[in-house]
Amino acid sequence: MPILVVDDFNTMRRIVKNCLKQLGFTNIHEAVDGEAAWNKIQSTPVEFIVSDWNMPNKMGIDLLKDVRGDERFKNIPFLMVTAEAQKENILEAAQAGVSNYIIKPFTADLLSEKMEAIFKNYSS
Amino acid sequence: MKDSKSYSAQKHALHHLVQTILNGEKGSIQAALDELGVGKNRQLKSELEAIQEGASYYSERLLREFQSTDSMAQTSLADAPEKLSAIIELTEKSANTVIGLAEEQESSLREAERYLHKMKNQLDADPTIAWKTRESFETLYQRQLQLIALCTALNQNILMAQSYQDLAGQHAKKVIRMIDNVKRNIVGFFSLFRENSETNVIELNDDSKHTADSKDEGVSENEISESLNQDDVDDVLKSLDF
Repeated sequence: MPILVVDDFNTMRRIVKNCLKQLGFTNIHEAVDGEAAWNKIQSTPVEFIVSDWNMPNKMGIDLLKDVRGDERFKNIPFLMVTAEAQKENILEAAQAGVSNYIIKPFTADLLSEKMEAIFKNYSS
Repeated sequence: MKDSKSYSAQKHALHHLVQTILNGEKGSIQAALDELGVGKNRQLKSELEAIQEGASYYSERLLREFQSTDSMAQTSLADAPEKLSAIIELTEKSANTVIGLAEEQESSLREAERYLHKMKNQLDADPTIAWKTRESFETLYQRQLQLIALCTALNQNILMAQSYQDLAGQHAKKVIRMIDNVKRNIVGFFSLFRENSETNVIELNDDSKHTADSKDEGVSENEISESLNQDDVDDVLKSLDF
């Protein structure tokens, strides 16, 4: 399954990538911000998005809105992994159609748990 | 219609005044105020000197905090964002180095695991090896697998611990925006004292514009609502039928 990891910090992209590899995912793409992610989605098949919130050029929440607003991509599971932990953020993301939400710092187990929950939701 | 030359000169004078204060150039305030055409305003001068004194105090405190290297000792409020960006870059390099080592370690562990399995398969396939030797190897094999699993888990924890760099970097970026905001607010403050209202709308430099943009992006340094932990977030999501 092609997964897109979006974060402006290389460190975090590598960490998420490593976690995903541990979970058995090998087809992982990266983008440094929402804008690069949006371009990547248009050109590369992506079936799951793991995105930070706070990024230059285009924020994760705007990327989510773009994805949900586009007929071609609106069903792609979108997991927000962010340090933005205010209730308003969660509500805004939920309203925009986020599939789940993880607060940094997180554990590999939590990532696995949330991804499983998303897959379960999508299959039911 | 505004006089563009005069506007440009006033804008330059304002920036000069801000830099004078931020750089802690004692005695230069009068010259900067003269350049702005408000040199006779004693009260303004006195208030600005108090601000400069406060800025110098905090700048010196910052210097003391960063005295571990010569370059850091050069820090002033004006170039603090640049220094903070350098810190972000350095911590990111450090975290990436650790991640690189953890990845190599992970690769070595997988190699060790493969080698161990290969040895076991060879032993299992060799009927000439005595039962006692086989049993000893089995004990060793199981123990090695346990150790490899433990090392893999520890390695994963080392990897995950690097995510604090990302968090530290995000906090530092917010501080950078705060400093930019302080600069911007100082410019706004000075504009209130202008005798001529011609410069009420002050064109900000690119950095300040970026600050304004970043506020529009929903990033606030003065957020008053409380941060939630993962359990709280899950509760909020559950209440929304997630």
